Amino acid sequence: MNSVAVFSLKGGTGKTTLVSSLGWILAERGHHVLMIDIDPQGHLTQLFKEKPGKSQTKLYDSLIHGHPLSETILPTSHPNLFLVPATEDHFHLNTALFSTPWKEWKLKDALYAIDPFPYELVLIDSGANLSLCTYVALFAARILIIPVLPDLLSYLSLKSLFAFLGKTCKYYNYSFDMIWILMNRINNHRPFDRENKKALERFYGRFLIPEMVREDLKFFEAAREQVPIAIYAPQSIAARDMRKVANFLEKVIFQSKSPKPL
Amino acid sequence: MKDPYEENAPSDFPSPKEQPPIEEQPYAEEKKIIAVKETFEAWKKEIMDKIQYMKENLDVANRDREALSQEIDRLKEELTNSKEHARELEKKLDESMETFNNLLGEIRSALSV
Repeated sequence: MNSVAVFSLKGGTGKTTLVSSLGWILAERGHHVLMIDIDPQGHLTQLFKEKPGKSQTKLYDSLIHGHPLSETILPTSHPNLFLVPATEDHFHLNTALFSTPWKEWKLKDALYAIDPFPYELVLIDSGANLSLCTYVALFAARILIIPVLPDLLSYLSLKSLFAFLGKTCKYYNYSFDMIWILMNRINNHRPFDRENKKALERFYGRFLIPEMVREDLKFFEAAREQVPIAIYAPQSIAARDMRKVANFLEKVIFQSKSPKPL
Repeated sequence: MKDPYEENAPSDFPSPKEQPPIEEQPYAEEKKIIAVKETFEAWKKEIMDKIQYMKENLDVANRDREALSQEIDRLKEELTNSKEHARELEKKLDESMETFNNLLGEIRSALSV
């Protein structure tokens, strides 16, 4: 299963924007994509304007009471794109998970229980904190994407995240297949941005996605309209950059996978 | 002054299992063999992107300028109207004062009789 968690310790780095845009772009290219909104803020759900009905099974029911995850999935306006939405129950998810056995693996187990699994890619949008919900998202993913802004605070939080990942993966005997850092909202005309980019290339080079998403006013317009940038302004700089990132991910996720021995 | 990036360089790294080495990344390989024409096209596209970025900024600035000039026109019109109104009020005050003085004169002459 190709599952990707988009996570960063720092808030406002573009996690939801990335999930919504990549989900939409890859769905347009014919991939069946499932997005999971595990962030209690529920911004991804708001972007797609999807709300579960009262009788609809929620992610909370699936993770805490063992209901099938497939019952939580909603269609979106794109026929290839699906969403497990955030609901108000997400606020209590962390507390409820606390007393659940094997809590960290709940989402992974729920995903693996879907048989046959109709999605080529799962994108998980998590909040910028280290709660049990984050653990659940991270342990369900084989690939981690960390969006960073071109500022020193983002750079500092990246160091903390890498230290956390190193220790956590060792403690839980868990390993991601790949970890990628994505430079987001970079403006090459600003010296500070260039300085940050150089530092990332120097110290995190092997994890850095060669493509980056440039700063674009359309981001803010799309956020105001509550629409993913790839839908709001498909020809904007940001949307074109997102498509380049999607190209890269398609290559490393779908094409470069060597067949595993039986 | 120390470089804050160097000072805060990472010390721990996770070890992902299938991370392609940087030189083997499909993009890195593709970039190595990119032809001159393609490089030129990439530069051209980059410049076009920059122009579009600046054009978008200019569009926003123009929209702001237009909105501001409309606001200035509205305020100017309001000021002209207010001045006109003030003139009318002054005229009315003069007339009232004249009437008042006339009445005062009549009262005075009536009392002196």
